[in-house]
Amino acid sequence: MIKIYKVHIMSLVVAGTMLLLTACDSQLDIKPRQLIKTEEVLVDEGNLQLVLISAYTGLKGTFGTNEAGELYGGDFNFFSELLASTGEVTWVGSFDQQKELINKAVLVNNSRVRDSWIRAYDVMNSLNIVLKYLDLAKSPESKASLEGQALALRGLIYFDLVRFWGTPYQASDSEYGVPLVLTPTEKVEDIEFVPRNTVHEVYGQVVEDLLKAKQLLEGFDKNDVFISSYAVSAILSRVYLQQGEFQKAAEEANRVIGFNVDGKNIYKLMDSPLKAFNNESNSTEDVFALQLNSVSTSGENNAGLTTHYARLNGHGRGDMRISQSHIDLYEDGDLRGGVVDNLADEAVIANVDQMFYIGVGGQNDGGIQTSKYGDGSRNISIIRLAEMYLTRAEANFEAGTNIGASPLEDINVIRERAGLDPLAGPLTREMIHKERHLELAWEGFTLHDMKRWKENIGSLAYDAPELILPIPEREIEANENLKQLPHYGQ
Amino acid sequence: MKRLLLNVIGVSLCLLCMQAYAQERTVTGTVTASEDGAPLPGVSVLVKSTNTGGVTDIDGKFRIALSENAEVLIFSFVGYESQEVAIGNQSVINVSLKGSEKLLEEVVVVGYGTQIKQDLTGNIAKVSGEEIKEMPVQSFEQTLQGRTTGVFIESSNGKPGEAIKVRVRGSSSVSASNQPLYVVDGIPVTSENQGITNNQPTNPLADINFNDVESIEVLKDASAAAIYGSRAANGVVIITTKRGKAGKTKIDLSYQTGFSKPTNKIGFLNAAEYRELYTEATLRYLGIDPVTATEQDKQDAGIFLEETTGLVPGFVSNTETDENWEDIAFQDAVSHQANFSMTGGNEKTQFYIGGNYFDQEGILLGTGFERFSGRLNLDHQAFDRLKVGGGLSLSRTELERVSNDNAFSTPLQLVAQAPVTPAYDPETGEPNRNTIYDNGLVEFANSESGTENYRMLGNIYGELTILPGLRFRTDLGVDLLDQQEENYSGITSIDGRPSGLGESRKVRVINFNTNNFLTYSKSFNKLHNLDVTLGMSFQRSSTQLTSLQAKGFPHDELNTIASAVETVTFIASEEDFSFLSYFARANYKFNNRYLLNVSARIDGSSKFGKDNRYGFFPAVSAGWILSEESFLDNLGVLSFLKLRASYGLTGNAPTSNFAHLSTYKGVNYAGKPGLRPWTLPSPDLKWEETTQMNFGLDFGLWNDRITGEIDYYIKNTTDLLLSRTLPATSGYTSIFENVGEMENKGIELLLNVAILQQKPFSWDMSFNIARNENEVVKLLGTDIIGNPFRVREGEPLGVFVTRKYAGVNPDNGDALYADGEGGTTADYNLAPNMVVGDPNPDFVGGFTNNFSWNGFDLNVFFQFVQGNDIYVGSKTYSSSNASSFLDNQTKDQMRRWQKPGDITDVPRAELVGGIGDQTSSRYVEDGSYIRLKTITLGYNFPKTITDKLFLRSLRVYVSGLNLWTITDYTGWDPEVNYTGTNRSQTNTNLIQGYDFYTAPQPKTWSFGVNIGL
Repeated sequence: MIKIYKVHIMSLVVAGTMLLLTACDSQLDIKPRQLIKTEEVLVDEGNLQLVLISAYTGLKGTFGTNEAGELYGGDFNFFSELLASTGEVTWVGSFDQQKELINKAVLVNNSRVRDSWIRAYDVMNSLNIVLKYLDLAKSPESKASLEGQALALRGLIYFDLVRFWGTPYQASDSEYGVPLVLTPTEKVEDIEFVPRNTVHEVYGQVVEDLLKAKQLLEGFDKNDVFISSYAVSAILSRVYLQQGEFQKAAEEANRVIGFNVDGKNIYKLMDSPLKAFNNESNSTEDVFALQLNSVSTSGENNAGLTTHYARLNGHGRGDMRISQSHIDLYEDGDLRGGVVDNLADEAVIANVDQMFYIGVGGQNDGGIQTSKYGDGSRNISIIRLAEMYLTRAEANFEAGTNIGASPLEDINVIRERAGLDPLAGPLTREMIHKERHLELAWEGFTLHDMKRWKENIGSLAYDAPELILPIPEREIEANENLKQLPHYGQ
Repeated sequence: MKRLLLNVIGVSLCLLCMQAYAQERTVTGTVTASEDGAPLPGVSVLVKSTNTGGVTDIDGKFRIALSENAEVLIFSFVGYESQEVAIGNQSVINVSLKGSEKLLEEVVVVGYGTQIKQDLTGNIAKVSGEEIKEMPVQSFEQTLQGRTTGVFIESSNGKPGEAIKVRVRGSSSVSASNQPLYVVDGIPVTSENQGITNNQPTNPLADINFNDVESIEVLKDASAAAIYGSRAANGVVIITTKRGKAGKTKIDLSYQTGFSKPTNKIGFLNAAEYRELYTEATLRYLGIDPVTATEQDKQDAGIFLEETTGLVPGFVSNTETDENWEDIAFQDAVSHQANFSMTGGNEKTQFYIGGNYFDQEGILLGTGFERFSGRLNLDHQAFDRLKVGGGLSLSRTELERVSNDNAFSTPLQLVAQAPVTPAYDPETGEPNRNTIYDNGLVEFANSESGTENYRMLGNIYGELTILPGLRFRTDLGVDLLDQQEENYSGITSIDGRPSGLGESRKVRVINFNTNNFLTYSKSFNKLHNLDVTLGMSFQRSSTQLTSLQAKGFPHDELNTIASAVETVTFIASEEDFSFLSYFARANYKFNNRYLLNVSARIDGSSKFGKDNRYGFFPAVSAGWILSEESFLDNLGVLSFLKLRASYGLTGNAPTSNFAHLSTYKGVNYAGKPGLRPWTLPSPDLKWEETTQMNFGLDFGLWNDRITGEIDYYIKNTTDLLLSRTLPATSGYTSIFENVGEMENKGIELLLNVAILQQKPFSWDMSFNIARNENEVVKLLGTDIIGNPFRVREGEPLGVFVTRKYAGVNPDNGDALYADGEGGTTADYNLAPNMVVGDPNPDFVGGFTNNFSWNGFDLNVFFQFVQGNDIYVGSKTYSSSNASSFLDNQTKDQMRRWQKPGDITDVPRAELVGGIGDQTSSRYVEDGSYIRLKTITLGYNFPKTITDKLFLRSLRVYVSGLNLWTITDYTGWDPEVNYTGTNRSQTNTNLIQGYDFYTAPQPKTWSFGVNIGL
């Protein structure tokens, strides 16, 4: 009797347990802890602001820990300086990707070229999301700010994309621009297999975005971290200069230089050239700079400006070695051309008081390095006021105007800051070009300036296909509508 | 070994069927095992031609009342040969039973139960703990290499404790895991790497001491594995630990020490050769034709290299040094292993206690592995109907590590240094800091890197006999992994300059699992046998990670983060997933010859959206034991013949826990938080499904002297979980979807032969070989593109797609590539991509011979892999005709093109010229090898000696691991799998056969002694 009773109890226990455990379907509802669902993001202005901030982070090329150095965090500078190099810099690192660039023999599977392409359109998607959801803004002011910033950054990126991947801007249009993607991808069905737009179409979009951004951002110009209407003017001055629209370029540069509050200029040149670099927060010379700190760098191990340009104790690998031929371009006494040659092995950027130094601290040391990127946790200047003076000078010179100041006055502002005597004139085109080359050395201008000036790079004409980046192989394979430059085959 | 399990069954049987008879005279005695003299409980003792009999008790003793006409006793026990003994007028009969060689009677562990091998209808490979116990390796998967038919096992490199790739019948997925499910005593355990992402993955299974393992079963076909449903597409590896055994307490002690060296060294240029090659390369860089160059030109080129560029210290000035950097990267490694086990108990309670200490130095400088582990397994018959028990193992492993294979600071990258530069500063004796590349020895001297795991595997169970034949079992298991990584690069080290870089990373993985199931077995009329299993299981896994990286240390001695001044990265995160499953299985056997097995599982997972959460995974299989049929009675040599067929569905879930969601992720913009779009929605994401068909034939010849298995299978995976390539202009590079199909088909053959069984000599051998053909049948859109690894429609997973190297232009020494139209081109961009290699082997297998003679035993075990290609990524630096950078080159580069007319396959040397150093088939090699994996010679001292020493047994042995490798591969070792730096699941599957300064396997001599008390 007792036995049978026991069996029944046990059967009940068993049946009960089984039942209990069947009821745990709810145990399958687990929410992610490190990710947030899209429908919880695109709900208010605050979140939209956060999406916009992610685009700023994207510009310096680091989103995750494994990716680094794309776009303005490194590659846009290296692409320009390496492709344009005729010996003023040598690449002494072991990476093949940069070696291909300096050899003007870029392979279609170059991973740096691929990654910057990917990152550019990745940031673009964030910007397009912001532009699509502007109605979340609570006030017309915040809407204008969000829209203006998103358009400004989109204009900036497309401008650089077309400068690197497109044929040089000329009066006659070219089919080899870059694809314009102006709407966000929110689901896989949104994806279009976009062809290249023409060079003119891309420039047209860039100018349209920037002009609108400039107008929208006017009145929000206090903030030195996010992009301002003056930064937009500065970008416009670059675009117009590249297009040969000199008067417009001079006007935009003039607007930046003249930015003042109650008669006090907001942007000011630092009192010595080196002080414009390696700053923890924006200097008075920064019109637009990417914000970095020790936990948010552009990459210090395998990529990034500091990685390749610096060779100090614990900073950089000295891969971008500046040649004596570059140093020789500076006049005696030029503060921009000094070389420190007695750094201790333990030296960091704080110990460097010249624009160049002989690298120390390990592998590849002993070469000349630029001091502009001595610490990967310091801000990266994208636009400095000095560029605006040089742009205004060159544009006025070419247009035969004196908007804001005469070209000679502007050139002399830069010279005097560099500790040099002012020029008496007459000013020549070569002098302007040289001043620009020296002041903006290793800041990623060379290739674009050479193309503007239609100057040969070594034996290559300014418009040689070798000086245009290939569309990444993965992209050509993923999108049959994309047409590679014939030089790169397929 | 198998006896342990059988005894447990035996004891239970004994409890159930003890009966008393009242007859006239009695006979008593003891039954022992012939191999060690231990008493055997549960042996059936039957009076021939009657139903009278009994079973032996816990001490192997029996007592049987005999009727007048009793003449002969039959002693039988599963796993032993039956024996008949004439009674005569003896009243005491002692019998010693001999272990049966009949593999077919082996008990095989299946999901949620066991089966006799003879009755299997699925395909299961089994390895007993006894076969693998003496191997000086860290983890049990390594011991299975070549021993399990159709299972391809590959270490990622020769560094201890790092990940092992296991593919059961090929890869079935592109973007979900291809590793099998590991189940230890019923608990699915954590087997995925939990280490930092910028180093090679580590192997949490190395926490398990395989000396505690009774058997390992690999469930290969759908019928065997489908009971594990959604996790079974890649096969299931079931690990069963040793259980206690009633009887006198037995103690086993063993000690082993080993000495290791690398299996191979490559050989790089010596100082003179280096100087010759790089002078030539520099001359070309300077625009001077080396053929017409004067001695002065050559001298100047050297000065340019050493002084002008400052890149190669000692190139001209140091004529003394001829450094062999390769030798410096390796160390002579010593290992020690001590093992202890104790087992015993009484009829009601049995225990097993195991302890292990393993300390192994790696052959690569700065690597090592250490493990302490202990296990207690307990079983107790609480009441007639209730059995309870459990197991608990605790272990601590410590891994001493070096930087990733792609880091300058990793020891094997020392080979890139110039032989003209000394490794150590001749004045100070410290590592030389004036080298081309950062000297990894600096890192070695100034850095520490270690991973410490505490692992607890515990389970408790209760088993209730509700009615005869009907049982309910419940178990609860926990797998707790607590991993602490400490990495510190010192103030003067390469990675840590200028103020030290420290990292502290902690991972805790808790895996909770419960299984609850009913089993019913019943035999009707001795013709029908039915076994039914019905139950559910639930698993929840939670992974918590905390990681801090900081710099700015005051002193290398103060290297915990507490002393640092600046944070570099900080992470705290949690990832959870759960599985809820219901399963059922029925085995039906008719007349001992017709077998039918039906199983099904329903799995629900948190990894899918609500609508696609549950998957249904059924399987059916049938077997026919032809040799039981009367029409095959007189086939003489044929002692056993069985046909098997199975068909079933298994599944796979994504590695990522939230792949179906559209999400954003937090980012940091210099202190300002942001939200970045992260994944596109994939709302229809569902289980990846693999249907597998298997046809098998088991046979025995000459009274099972020869046994074998032949299997043919087709595995078809549809709705592939795939990270589909998207045009990056969309803002995304991929989306996770169910698209595409993959197929694996293959043949497996296993053959066991008892060649000689003439006392005192015996010789048996076992041979297995498997062929698997993998093909990505369908893919939506473009390839998944790695460099050069790809997923391409119509090709096997991970094929190498790149330019085809076509040798050297004899006129100018240019590297040439096939232009796709039968010609060649020197322009890499114009050469089309084509398939130039396949990392998947055509055949894998193993070949074992066991010899024994008068206490001596010799085991010789070969393992082989045939038909796989390796992409040697490091050769773009080390075998690049001095045109990549300044790396020392392999000897073959001296064959470079020098002057017009030279016919060679190595292009001209030209400093940083990049001549032929790009990714191409130039760096693809055949990775086939056959290896003398282990050879062991042992001696078991005879009882006469052990008795004198008061020992139960005594064995000494000497053993060799990886002593001899035959291969055409020119790298260190063909067993390689560098996983790259971006270890997404897709990349992990895609990147196979990649060598990038990857450490070779160790070649080890071991000496050991085993003592039984």
